[in-house]
Amino acid sequence: MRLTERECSVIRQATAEVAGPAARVLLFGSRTRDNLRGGDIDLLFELSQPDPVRWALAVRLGARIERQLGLQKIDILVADPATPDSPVLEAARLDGVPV
Amino acid sequence: MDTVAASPRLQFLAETVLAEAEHLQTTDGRLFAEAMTTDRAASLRTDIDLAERADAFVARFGRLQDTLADKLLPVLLDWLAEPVAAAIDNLNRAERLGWIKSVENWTEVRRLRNRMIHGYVRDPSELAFALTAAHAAVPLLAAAAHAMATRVRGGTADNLDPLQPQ
Repeated sequence: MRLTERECSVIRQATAEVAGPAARVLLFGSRTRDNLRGGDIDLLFELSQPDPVRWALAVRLGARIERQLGLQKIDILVADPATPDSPVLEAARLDGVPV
Repeated sequence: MDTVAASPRLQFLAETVLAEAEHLQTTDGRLFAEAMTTDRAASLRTDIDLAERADAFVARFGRLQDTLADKLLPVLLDWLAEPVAAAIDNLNRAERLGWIKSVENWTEVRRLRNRMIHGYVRDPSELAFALTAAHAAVPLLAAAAHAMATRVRGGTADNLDPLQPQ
């Protein structure tokens, strides 16, 4: 996976602060492939409990990480146990690497 | 006091953000005369008039935020002999000068924009959330427009509280 140790630690800390200690974060998309360069950072956050304001979490997580890394190319998916499956979500889970 | 008069470009941009803020507030008033519930967000797929109104809101919202951050802010900082740097640094300076409430908040508001486009956000509850959150952020963008335009007009923004737009 192509994330620096600092990028991982910013992402993990933001996850714990914003989404709680039980949330899991997976990197998916082009950044999981070591033979590519650049590309957006695609992150899937999996919440352990259904959360009616998971959209708000997605916005806050993205802003926090973007601000701390000084980057704008961060795409966020947030899923909870009630989120219906979708092709994007399935692909992200299949492809995803824990951060 | 500023010894260099504002350039025509700077004056033009200051007038532009005020006009854009006014247009945004007009559409905002029309779209949110009723609360944006999940049901109402779902009806954007079939209600052409409502969908056009929502499109206008999203476009005006994005345009004002972009004109403020990408166009006016760098020119204004340059005029004040402040260093002009990467977008994130300019926003940090705008926060320090009291023109925007907080960079994190500003960034959150920008991240809402992808989530309120009814053409490709399929989940009506997500659309309703994003549109309602953007509605709540309209006073924040309008306050930033007024604070920066006031600074261009030679006043200072010191007596403007960005959290309490008029």
